[in-house]
Amino acid sequence: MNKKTILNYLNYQGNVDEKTNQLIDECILEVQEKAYFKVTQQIFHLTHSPLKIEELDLIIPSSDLTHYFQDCHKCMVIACTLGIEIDRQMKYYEHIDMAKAVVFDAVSNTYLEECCDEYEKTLDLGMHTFRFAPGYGDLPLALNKPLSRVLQIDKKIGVTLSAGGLFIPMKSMLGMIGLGSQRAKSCHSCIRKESCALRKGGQRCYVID
Amino acid sequence: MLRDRLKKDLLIFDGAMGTQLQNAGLKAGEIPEVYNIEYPEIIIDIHERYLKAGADFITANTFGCNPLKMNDSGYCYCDLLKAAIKNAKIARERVNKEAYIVLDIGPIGQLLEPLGTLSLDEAYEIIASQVLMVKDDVDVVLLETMTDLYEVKAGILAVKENSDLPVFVTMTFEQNKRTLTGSDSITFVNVVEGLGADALGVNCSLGPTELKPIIDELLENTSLPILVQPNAGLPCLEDGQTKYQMTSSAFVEGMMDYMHQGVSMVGGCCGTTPEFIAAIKKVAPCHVTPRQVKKYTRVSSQNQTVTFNGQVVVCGERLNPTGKKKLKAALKEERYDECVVEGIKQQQAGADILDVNVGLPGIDEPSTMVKVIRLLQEVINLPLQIDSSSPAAIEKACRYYNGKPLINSVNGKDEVMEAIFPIVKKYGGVVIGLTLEDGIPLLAEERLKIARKIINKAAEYGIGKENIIIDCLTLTASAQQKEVQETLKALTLVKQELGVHTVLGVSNVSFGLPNRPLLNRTFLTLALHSGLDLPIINPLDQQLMDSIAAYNVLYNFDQDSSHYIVMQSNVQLETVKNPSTFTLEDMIIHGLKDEVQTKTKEVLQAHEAMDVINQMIIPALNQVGQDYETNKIFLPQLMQSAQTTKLAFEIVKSTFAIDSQTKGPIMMCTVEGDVHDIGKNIVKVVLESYGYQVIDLGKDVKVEKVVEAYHRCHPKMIGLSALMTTTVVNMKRTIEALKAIPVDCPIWVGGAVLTQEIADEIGADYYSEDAMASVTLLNEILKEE
Repeated sequence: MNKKTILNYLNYQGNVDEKTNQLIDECILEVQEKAYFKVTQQIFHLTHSPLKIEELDLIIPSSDLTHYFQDCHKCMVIACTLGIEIDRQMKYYEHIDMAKAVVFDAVSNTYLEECCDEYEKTLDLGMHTFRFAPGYGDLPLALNKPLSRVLQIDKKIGVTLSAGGLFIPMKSMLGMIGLGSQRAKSCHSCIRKESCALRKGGQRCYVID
Repeated sequence: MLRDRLKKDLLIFDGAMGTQLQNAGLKAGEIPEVYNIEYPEIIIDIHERYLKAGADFITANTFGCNPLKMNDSGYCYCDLLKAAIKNAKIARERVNKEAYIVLDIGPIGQLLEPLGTLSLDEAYEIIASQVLMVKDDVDVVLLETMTDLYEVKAGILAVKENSDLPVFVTMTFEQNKRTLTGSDSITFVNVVEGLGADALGVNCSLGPTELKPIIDELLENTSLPILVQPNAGLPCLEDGQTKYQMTSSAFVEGMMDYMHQGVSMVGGCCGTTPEFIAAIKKVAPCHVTPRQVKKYTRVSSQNQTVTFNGQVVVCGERLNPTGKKKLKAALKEERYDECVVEGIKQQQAGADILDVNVGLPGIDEPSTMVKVIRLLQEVINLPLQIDSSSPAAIEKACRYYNGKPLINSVNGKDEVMEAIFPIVKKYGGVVIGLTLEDGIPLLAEERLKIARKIINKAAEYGIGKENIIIDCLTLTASAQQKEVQETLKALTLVKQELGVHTVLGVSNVSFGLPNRPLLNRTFLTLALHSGLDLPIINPLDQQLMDSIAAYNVLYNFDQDSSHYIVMQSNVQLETVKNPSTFTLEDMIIHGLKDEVQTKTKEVLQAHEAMDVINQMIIPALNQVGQDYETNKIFLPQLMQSAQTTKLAFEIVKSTFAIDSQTKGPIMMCTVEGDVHDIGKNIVKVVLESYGYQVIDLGKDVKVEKVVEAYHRCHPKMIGLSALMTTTVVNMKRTIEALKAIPVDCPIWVGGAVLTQEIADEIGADYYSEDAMASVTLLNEILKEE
């Protein structure tokens, strides 16, 4: 697992202390053991102006995505999770060791991203954009609901969308990938752009700002 | 009668509905249940084809017909449900064949508490409403594709309490042999049999071949009729779409063994068609192959089962307020977190089951029991022992417990058995029977007689002896020295004559004598040799646990002594640790929480408690805060230091009347609808390290609960946390409700999506960006106090 990403989640700047480094190593092993990665995906056609998923007759009201997907004619909706044991273990550490809990949280986030990246690599998607998740940039969080239903994420990967709009298990995500055009990840649409401690410290999560 | 046929006739279920509907034109994103009203002929046609293929059951198209899932369908779920049953009936009439109409109930689509947000009661109400609506028009209810055993429990209770219909349950297992919420097949069997389902089985997720390990376990462990509905093999992706490629003949080949090994019902799930069902029907034997199933005494949590099979099973006794001042206070002050920590410690020490007793004068025992059980089950996988003298508390705990509990207890008195046995039968538990009536008989033979009476009486309620564990009762050596050995004799007699497992609370034996641990572990060893299976002990007593480990070696339960060897090597490792040379300040700054308590005790011998706080702890803590703010240390280190400080504070407090030094109380929660409470917990730990008393209401806390807690706790400040924009709405509602009281303390908010602007918009008094900012804020606001 990429320790730099883990440290980013923990807002680390500069070198990591030995004790935290050890905690990270422990958590990497535990997260890998407790996680049960499940993923499901489906490909749809896109039409433009306005951006729409054709089969679902679903308009995507987002200028960010209109921009990123402008050269894409298809998109993949992908949902994945690390499973409920990660939630349970996290709560466990919240009771007995908060330091470990925050590290476990960061490691889980990183592992979810990495598992999903690895899975994408197996798909032979050709030119494609990065994953864009509802809630980031101006892509409405409300899209999670119809997209979750179409993908049957509860049945296929055991993820439910609560009445409050949260994915449970917590380490789950749903994203859209434009197919047919290349776009790299950037900080541009990140929801934390204005408040990000790393940015304030002059660091960037991605190569492009 | 369907129930009578289940163990005799091999019956045929139908196959997939979804794949058939897609072939008939159902598009991605369309809701299949809507076809019940908009295209009834398509549904009727699918049913007809399955019936003609040989199905004995018509699974109505009601999988997602619940108010939550049908919310966006444009129809009331009631109408879709009724239309589905009507379509099934029409198909049956048209084919003119005897067939059972199945009310099909899939997962509600929301995860249940404690890790999810849907309560057992809400799940129950949803399923009960479905059952009540059509119960006169269906023959059986099928809870299918289930992944959450707690939802299954809600479903079985809802069906059985609202109808006389048979109820079948199928769960979906992954290749790791667990459901997506972590239940294994033996736990599934143990819980669902206990709740009184009429049949159980597996469906979906995998094909007939991949399901073999699960089906084998079911065949070996359940005496209930088994239903098997696999997918048409494993799915594969074609152009981003899921497809099933298994042929009907390969499917039948995969199913053949099961049909001759004792499965009662066979059918198909995703990807199967009428062709599959016809192929199955062609080769299926008419009768169910009889099976012999060995009965075990088993208790379960949601995803772990303890089987009594010779080895010693340790029940941790520490979650019981009797004689424990700290736990008493924690229960009274609703600091349930301490109960959870106590549970975790016992789990770490090697307990297999945890006793839970919350009986205190002036406490609402039933509801406290449920709260504590829910919190424990969120993080601890061990089965629990529900321990109470109140039938009301036992009943409520059994209803809300997730799994098959151990129930403590009944005794030989008729009125006690009459109160408890119906609960044991209804919810499916294993019950402890105490060998006493009006008093404890002195002789072993008399205790045996009471044990026999309990077992016979239980049988009248349909409770088998595998669900009873007999307590032969430990007597105190200081008062009844002669009778101590009667207990040992009784253990042997009960086991030999009645063939049941046995339990003892061990430590009573030493009451009133010096060096109690010596007597306890000697008695334990004798009792184990005499036939004790379930000692109820303090698992943190290392010597007791060592005696058990040694016993397991000597009786060949610990194969190759492997567990024992690991245990002993850990002991040696611990003894070579060097004593630390750090100062208390260093320990706080570096977060050395394992050593800080010893160090604090040491410095307290040479310094006044107030000096320890003001000259050591506070300056160290200030240093930590400053380092964090200047990016010299980061969140994990801040947490280490905060936890270390909290431990140091606890030691100082225990030696000093420190109440005047405690700041607060501060009330905190993560708002309704939000389960991400790590942020709130981070703030809580840091506040506690600064000496604030924090009343933590937990996560997903309903608005009215916050209001209620305000009246009860009189906080100096209220902190609310939310992670998502969608739950900030609930934060606003909570603030509005609090201000309407009106509250006489400020409200501050925080969380990933919050900003000062949002905080102002929703009417919060203050916003803080992180834990240290919260400390600064609270110090500033509350400094006048």
